[in-house]
Amino acid sequence: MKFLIWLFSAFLYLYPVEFRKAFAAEMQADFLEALQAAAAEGWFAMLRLFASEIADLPGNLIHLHWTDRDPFPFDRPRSDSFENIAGTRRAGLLAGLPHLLYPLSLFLPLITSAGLGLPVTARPAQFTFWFITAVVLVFAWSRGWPRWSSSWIGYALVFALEQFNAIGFEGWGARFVFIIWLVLTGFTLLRMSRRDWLSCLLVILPVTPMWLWWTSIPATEGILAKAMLFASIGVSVFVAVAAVVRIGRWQTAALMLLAVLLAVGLPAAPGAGVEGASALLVYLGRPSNAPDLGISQFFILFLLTAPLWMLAVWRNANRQQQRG
Amino acid sequence: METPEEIQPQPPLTEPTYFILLSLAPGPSHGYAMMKDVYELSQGRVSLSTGTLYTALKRLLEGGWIERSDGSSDRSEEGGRQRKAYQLTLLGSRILKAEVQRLEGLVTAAQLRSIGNTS
Repeated sequence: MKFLIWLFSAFLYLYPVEFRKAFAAEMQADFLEALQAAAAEGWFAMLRLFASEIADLPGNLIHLHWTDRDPFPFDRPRSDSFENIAGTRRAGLLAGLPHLLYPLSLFLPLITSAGLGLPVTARPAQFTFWFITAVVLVFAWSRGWPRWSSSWIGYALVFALEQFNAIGFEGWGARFVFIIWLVLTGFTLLRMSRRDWLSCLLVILPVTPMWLWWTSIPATEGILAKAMLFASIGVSVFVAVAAVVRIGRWQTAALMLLAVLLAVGLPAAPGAGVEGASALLVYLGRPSNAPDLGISQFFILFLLTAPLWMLAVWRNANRQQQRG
Repeated sequence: METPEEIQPQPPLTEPTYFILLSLAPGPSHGYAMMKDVYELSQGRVSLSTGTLYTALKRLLEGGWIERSDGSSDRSEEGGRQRKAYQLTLLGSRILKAEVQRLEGLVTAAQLRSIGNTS
């Protein structure tokens, strides 16, 4: 009987916090009373009682977690989506963390293989990163999608893009899945922008560096210095995003993120000629071994996010005008 | 809160909701007493788990159909444990009556076609 009571108490932790605060003590007391009554009829009656609790559990949890709560509170428009709210240090750390972990999951295996002579095993590192992302997103959902979770939502979109890419479509098929992904991303961004522009910018941030880190993997294979260069880029994004969330001003965020995109995105520009070097510097210095900058891919990605930036600027200008 | 005069047409109640309201019709009651009452009222057909009961109670409280009873705490004989009791609000009573009338209407319709008339 004690074991069943312990198990029942453990299952109570699956209920939402508010519900637990309001009813857990009563539920425990009622279950105890029902169990004592069932004990008089034998252990089979006790097991039947416990089984009925377990059988009803999924339905009740879905109802309480999903129906009673707004699963996407970021969809709820706020009175002022440009409101400047300074974040805590922990929020900054959590917001920046995926930008540190993702390049590590990509390049750490290369670093260890080149530096320590270990075999290249990228999959466990990437799987661990996506698993952590999933856990953090569940945690963020239970906390009502705080601002720091925006970076993780951005990486969830990256994950979706990776999966679409893994399907292996070519030609029109590839374009079609990319359009689906764009619609999904646009839908998420536009709805988030109704609540908080800063979060919106943080969501889009991972896409460009991710794309270019991703395409740079073959060029870095087996070369320790290059792998470390790209992994260290993650540190700069981490610091920038942590600062953005800590400061909490969307204008500062827009400038810092733009700077990060320029600094981070360009080093891996395909066809830059000098692998691992900044295409911008290569372009400015015009070295002889840089035949074609080929930054069009990066430029397209930048243009894809441009409407969002311009819309934010336009909306904020309108807001300032109305206040004036 | 909605006044009885403003009651909107309700969809048919689910069986657990109907029996919970019915068990509270005579007066305030607490969780375990409701579970037993529902079992007896439904002739053993509806057996509420604590999870289902309190999920329903939460929804009924939010809807203003029931409320916590003011003199709600009674003490069980053996444990001296305080228990919270619930009672129907005026709105809850009206909704229950409306549901009973709806069910009566259904039975009357069946009787008009001599279905379910055992006499």
